[in-house]
Amino acid sequence: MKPGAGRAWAGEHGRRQRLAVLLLLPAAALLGAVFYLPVGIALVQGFRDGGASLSLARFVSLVTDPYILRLVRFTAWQAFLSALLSVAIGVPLGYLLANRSFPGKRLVSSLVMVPFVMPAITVALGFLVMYGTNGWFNEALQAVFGFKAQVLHTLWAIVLAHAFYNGPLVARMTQGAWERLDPALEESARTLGASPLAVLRDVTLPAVAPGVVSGAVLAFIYCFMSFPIVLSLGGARYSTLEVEVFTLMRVLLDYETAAALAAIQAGVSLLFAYVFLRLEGRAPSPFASFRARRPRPLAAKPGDLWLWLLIALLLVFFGGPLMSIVFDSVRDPRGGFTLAAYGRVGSSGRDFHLGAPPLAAIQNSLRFAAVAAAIALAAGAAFVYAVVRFLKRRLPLLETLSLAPIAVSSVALAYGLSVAFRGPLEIVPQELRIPLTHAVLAFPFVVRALRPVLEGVDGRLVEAARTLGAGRWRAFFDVELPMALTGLVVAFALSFGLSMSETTATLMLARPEQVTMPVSVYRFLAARDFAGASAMAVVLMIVTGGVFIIAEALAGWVRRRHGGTIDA
Amino acid sequence: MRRAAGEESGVRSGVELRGLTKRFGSVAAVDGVSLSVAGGELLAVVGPSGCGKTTLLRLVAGLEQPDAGSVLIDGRDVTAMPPERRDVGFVFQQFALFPNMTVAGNVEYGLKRKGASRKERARRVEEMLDMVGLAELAHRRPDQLSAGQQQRVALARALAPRPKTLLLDEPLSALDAAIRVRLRDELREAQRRLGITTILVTHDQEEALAVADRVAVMNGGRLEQVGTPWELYDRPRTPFVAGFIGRGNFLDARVAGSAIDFGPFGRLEKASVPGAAALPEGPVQALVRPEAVLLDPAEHDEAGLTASAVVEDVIFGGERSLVKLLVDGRTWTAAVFGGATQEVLARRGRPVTVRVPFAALRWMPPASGTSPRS
Repeated sequence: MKPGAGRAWAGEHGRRQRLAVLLLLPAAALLGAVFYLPVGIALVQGFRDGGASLSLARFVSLVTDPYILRLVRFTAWQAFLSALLSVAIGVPLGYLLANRSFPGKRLVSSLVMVPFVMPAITVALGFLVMYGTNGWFNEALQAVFGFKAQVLHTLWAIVLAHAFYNGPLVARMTQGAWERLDPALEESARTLGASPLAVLRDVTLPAVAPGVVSGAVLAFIYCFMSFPIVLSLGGARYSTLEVEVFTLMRVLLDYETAAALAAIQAGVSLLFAYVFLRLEGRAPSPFASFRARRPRPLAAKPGDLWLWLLIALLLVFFGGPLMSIVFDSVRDPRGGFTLAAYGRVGSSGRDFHLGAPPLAAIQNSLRFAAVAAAIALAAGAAFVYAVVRFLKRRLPLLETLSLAPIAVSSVALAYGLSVAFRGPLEIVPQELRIPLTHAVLAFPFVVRALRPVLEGVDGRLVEAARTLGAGRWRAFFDVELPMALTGLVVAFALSFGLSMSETTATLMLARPEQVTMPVSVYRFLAARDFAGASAMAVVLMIVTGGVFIIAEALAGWVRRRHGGTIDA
Repeated sequence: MRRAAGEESGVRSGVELRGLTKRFGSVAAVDGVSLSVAGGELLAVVGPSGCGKTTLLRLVAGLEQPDAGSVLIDGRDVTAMPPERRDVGFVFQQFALFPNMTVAGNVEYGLKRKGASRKERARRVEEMLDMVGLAELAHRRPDQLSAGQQQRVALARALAPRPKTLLLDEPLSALDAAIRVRLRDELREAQRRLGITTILVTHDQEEALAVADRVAVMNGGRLEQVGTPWELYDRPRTPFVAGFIGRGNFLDARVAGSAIDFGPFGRLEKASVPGAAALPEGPVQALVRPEAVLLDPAEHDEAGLTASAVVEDVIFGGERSLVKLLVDGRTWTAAVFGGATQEVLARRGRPVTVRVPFAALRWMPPASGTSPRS
């Protein structure tokens, strides 16, 4: 052995290790300071036993309390029903997006994730207007069938709203799984004598099912953690763990019980997050020589009738609440239409009920979202790069750590942050506190959006560039970056939208002048200005939808220019 | 890295590998390989999948770092050098064309990295695309090309920066049989014209024998034998090489004292078999190539072993056909040429006498490896 060779290898190895650590640093700092530290502060309260000693007594009394057990059962039950309805909506929608072309598909494709990033208060408002006793859903029922249905303040309202959120999520994951299925597999089954139905059963469903199940598990986690929807649509009769945590912390000021409950909740949802990651890890990857499927146009013939009906149903389901808000925002209580509410939204004056001027809320939201998305993207992209290129073997552990912000109560996180910002995190400038919090909450989504994109960039392309004289950095800029650009744009838009819609933590942390758009919707509602609330919600929807449309157009442009790879 | 003073002065062109070892976990993918490739030579590395041939190529390119040993290119130790400074052209198995660049952009890429002027780049790209006959596709994207066209682009891209060494990793395996042979000949022609030192990795021994100046056979991370195609065919040093290169029949025999028992071929005195004097006691094995197995030998044919057999099947192959023979329950392969084919075709299922001339026996060393075809 030539001594130099061993050293060279060790040197290269060491360099890679150092680079990996360097790349993980921003994510570690962000999650460590703004997530794990405050969550730790909040949850440790649950173990306090009167004085300074720690004990499990509180947990034991909680898990044997029949009220809490009923609460856990109901939380899981509504999450299960919501996930089920999300699948019922998401699978056909995913089928449509992956397999069929129809007029306006590009627009639908750009906007499909918008419900997912809508503030709960906006959705709740839309549901109130649409499904209320005098909402147009009931007016229509009355006109056609002669009766009205009680939707609000029932389990149905909660489940419908949850499906409104998570249906698109399931659709995206179903679409992804379907698009990764090589059509040659289905074709070869046909040539082997399988009927279309048998192909569906033997080839298509087994390939698509993992995507659907992952989507359903993810939807279950979100619904299990859901809070504002249950609070605003469920009425007094229904409560979930998260609502209970909120009540204990904000109303009863019983931080210890709230923390213990939040810990139990985090345990359950982390368990499901683990199941989700395991399921996802089992999904097969496509072959290298893989033919993209060609969407078939939707035809005006009887065979496609059910799909047209489905589109109509989806339009009512997703469009209904949104159109209701728009309608509500321009309706004049004295009859006719007026834009007066938009005048109030655009006003820059202070108001006794609203506090900071609504116009400032729009500016705040845009500024916070831009900063939060930039932070989340920078930390997330470096994290994903390090994990995919250098630390492949540690992927399961690192990914679980990075996904934790999804699984932990945002009420508990916000409480922990409010403590931390008065203590160890006091040096963080006021202006950065909300964006940092939003960045932490968006981080898991950035990781999820970017990982498949970077994994899709064949490592041999980097090697090819290197044999052609490009250094490691040069190869990164010439090959990996252009190919991942689409994913970066999509991840930025997603973080931006999530920040725009975040309400719980903002409500609990923001200073009076730091009003954001969803918070402003609350203020309008509290001031009994429903038209103003609707108008603010419409502006919020337009901004968020606009960001997604711009992002999709930008991604399309990048794809055409650079022939990018995978759609996140 | 410090070098001995004399090493630089005796600059030899070509590639030299010294005791190269690369482990993945506990498995040595490449295990102490020493090998030199002369300047302008085309060396083919063959072996079954998993034998370490691709790892060997990646070590030369600097895409892997060896655990031991060194790589010299044109007399310079490049072991510690990153791939971008080694001046190699690499053609990947699935071509690895940049999907975010056009055909011309792909070919231009290496020139850009070398800092060639815009004018020089444009000239060279045109020249290279002309060479591979794809000038009119310069502005296409890689995914709009057929596999054969992609392969040509990959070759043009690798050659554009005028590398000292060309490394080809199964460059033809992604192609159809017909185009494979054509591109194989084109590749060989281009390599000869440019006089570029080339290492070709392939699992296809026929491809290796057809184009290589010399062939290296690898097995389990080690070199089994290196030589010209004819040397490997005529004088394989191990049963593995014998089985991997060309077709062959293995004749089992047993040496007992002064006699050799050839089974169905009878028992002979050791002294009457030329070249058998040095054989050890016990079981021995000889390779017999199909063309050395003579059917119905005439009296004047050279001296050898004789046995009776049955013609089991004839695989017609135009100028050369293969005859499957059953010799005492074991299948042998013989080759017949030209007009003799028609005669043997008529004799399926009929008995025949076979002779193996003593001069055609290739004694194998006591079996250490196993033949891949046995």
